Amino acid sequence: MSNSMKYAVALAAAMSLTAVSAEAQSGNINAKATVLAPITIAQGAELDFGNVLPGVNKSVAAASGATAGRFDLTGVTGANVNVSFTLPANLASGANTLPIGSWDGCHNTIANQAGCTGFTPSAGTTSANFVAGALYVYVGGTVSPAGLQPAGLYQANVTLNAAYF
Amino acid sequence: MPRCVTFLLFTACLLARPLAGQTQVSGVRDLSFGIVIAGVPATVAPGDPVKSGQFYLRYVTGGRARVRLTLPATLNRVGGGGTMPISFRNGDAFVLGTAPGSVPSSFNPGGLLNYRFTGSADANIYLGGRVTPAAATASGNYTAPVVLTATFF
Amino acid sequence: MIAPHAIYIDHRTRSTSITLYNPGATSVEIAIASIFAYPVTDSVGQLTLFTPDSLDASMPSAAGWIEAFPKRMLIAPLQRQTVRLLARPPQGLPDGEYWARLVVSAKGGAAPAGEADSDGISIGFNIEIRSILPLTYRKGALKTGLGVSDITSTTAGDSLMVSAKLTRQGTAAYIGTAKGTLLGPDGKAAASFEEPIAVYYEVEPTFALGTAALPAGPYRLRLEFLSERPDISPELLLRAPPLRDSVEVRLP
Repeated sequence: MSNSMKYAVALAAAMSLTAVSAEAQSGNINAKATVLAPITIAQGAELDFGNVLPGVNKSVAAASGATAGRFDLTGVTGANVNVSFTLPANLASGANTLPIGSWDGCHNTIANQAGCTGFTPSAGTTSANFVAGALYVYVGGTVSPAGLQPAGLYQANVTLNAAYF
Repeated sequence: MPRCVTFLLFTACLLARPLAGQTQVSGVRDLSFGIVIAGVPATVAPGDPVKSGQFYLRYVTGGRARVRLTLPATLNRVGGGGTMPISFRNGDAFVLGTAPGSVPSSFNPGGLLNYRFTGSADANIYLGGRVTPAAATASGNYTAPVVLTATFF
Repeated sequence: MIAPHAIYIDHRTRSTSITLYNPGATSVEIAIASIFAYPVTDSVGQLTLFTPDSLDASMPSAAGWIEAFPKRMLIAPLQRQTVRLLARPPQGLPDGEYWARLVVSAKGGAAPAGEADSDGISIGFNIEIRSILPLTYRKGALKTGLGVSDITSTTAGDSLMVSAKLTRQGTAAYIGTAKGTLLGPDGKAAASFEEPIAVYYEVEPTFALGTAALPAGPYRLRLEFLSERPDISPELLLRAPPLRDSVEVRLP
């Protein structure tokens, strides 16, 4: 084999070896998402009057009652929200009715009744702010069963309206 | 230089580098989470036919490629003003050749994939992942690039 | 959960969608409707919805021609549902901005009952929650702006209450953010607020700055109104030049 031939064979072998780390190519895509800020309204706790006895009024205080109802709202920090209720005057069990003497409510920006701002839920719209992105609305009331109130499950509809701006 | 030497060098060159146009890497489809609610994590499976990301690779049948994905840790709000974490786990990607009967092979998109083009000269890589927007994440469009680098052997 | 909480529909596409998500452990029954209403301020400067008793032609209502698909649905726990909103505006609708409020009503499962036994009286309430969200329909090129006047401040307890009359300009509602900073004699920020605002016609909102720990003396109140909101995508907001004003105040 001539010298030039040896040189060429060596060069070809070297080039073949370099093929192992041959060629890199790139391609791109994007990862993407569209984030939407939600609002949330949920029933955090049920208004629970517990055992109710005929002829004995039973009250649950919104601002202090352990069994007060609670609604948990979230929204934009600082934003205004209007809260109103559609409330029944009576509960019904078949043809029997049980009067609801009064409703009361309060709201707070933390999930704690202490220091909450009172309002009358049956009186119209209450305005509040999401100071830290949350609002907790507590609801209580008084039921006034008659002395001969028949036993049974008494039910009524309660509607919470929350208007965002 | 004798003709045989020239021929040998030419052949070596052919062996050494893939021919121009012989290799291809391209992004086909974005990894798209669509609408995400702040505070609610969202996941896209790599097998999702619409939302998963897709890359296309072409080389030669029997050839090998080493694939590396450069993945973002966050998506950035278009126009500024926020980021959102994005993460990938083992199994969030798979590669699938185009030959009839090809079987998808899952891999960790955070690691290296060594792939042999078996039965066909091209393959697709599909990518899923998950985003975990915080409840306070600013509304808007978020994006970040995903880069696939393939080295062909 | 409902997202977005501010809904925009463009006349060119005449549709959009909202996403509902049930994070709870029980299924939720959903119904969707629309009404016409827009925000005004009450006597203490809080935003409240004004719902006209009847509609006349001068009112830019979209409530009558926005339809939701589906209108009613049941969403299982931890499931989401996309609701498409389609607009069917009347022929020849003039360029402008049209408003509605989307009412998303959610009812939970069976009424909870009290703990009384079968011989006693037990009480349960069926709860319905209605989320009322702004919906804006836009046709043509629109402009918005804001006029600020009558800036006043009063102290109330440990707060400084700031009020301003905000009047919408242009052809579309001004959606943005009000920022206020109380600067001390040294020029440093002593208190601040940042609140979203929505000015459809004219409002006179009141903003509160906590001043409990601040010494008496002169301060400068700097107000800024920007047509941007962190909760709404920038491309949905109509831009207007920032407005800045400042007034001298004295804390007692």
